[in-house]
Amino acid sequence: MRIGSHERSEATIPTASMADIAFLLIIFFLTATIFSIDKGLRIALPEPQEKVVIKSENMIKIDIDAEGLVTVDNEPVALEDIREVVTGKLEERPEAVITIRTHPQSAYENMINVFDELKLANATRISFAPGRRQSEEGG
Amino acid sequence: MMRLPPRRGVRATIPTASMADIAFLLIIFFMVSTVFRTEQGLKVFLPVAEATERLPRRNIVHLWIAADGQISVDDYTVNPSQVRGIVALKLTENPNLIVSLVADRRTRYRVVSEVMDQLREALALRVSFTTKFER
Repeated sequence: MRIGSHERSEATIPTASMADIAFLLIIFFLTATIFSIDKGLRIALPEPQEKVVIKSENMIKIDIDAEGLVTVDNEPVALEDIREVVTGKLEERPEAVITIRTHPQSAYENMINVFDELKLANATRISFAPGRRQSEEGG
Repeated sequence: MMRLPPRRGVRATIPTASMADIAFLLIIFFMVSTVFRTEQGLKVFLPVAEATERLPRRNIVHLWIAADGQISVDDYTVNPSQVRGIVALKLTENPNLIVSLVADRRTRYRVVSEVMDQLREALALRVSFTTKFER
């Protein structure tokens, strides 16, 4: 008895929707992605034991009061002029250490604005003086 | 009137065979670059600074300080006096740690100063003030 030759059915995987699946996954990852780039102003804090006494003639003293008014070596300076003033002072005394003393009630932003200006003036030796101690603070 | 011979339309096709390949390539890119958000943090308005620089992506611990002085690390609200212990613990796990202070621009400087003192005592000396770059 002869069996009629039956046609072989071809096995196929449908790939038409593959791209759809892939794009769906793309959209998921696109929305889930946060490019976590941290940005900021870097600073190295001094060691806790370190209490370097800086001679007052070797120090550029910057004070920020509660309202955000800035004085450089006891002279009031506008925020925009800090860069210029500090650059000038650093040319005279390249070894000088800049001490920023901020009033405890002052807004954090005021300190950052001054610190930003100092960074732009290429000042590298910067220290933050706490309000209670006066002229002793390592940088 | 002249009769034009019936034109045979050329079938325009866009090859779609490589579409899936392109899509998978993009998937792999996004899979690799995705970092799922791990902490909620606090709502802060960052101060603006021109000298803002990029920080390395690894070795960073965020320390959030809200405008009212609330401090948060790893989504736990902590007291200023607890910062030292937490940061010291993290520092033993990773000695190259950078502490990123994500503080609100209106925060009183007293809080920031206290936190910086705590960081110094914990010997976490590599600190960064997170700022927003703007000209």
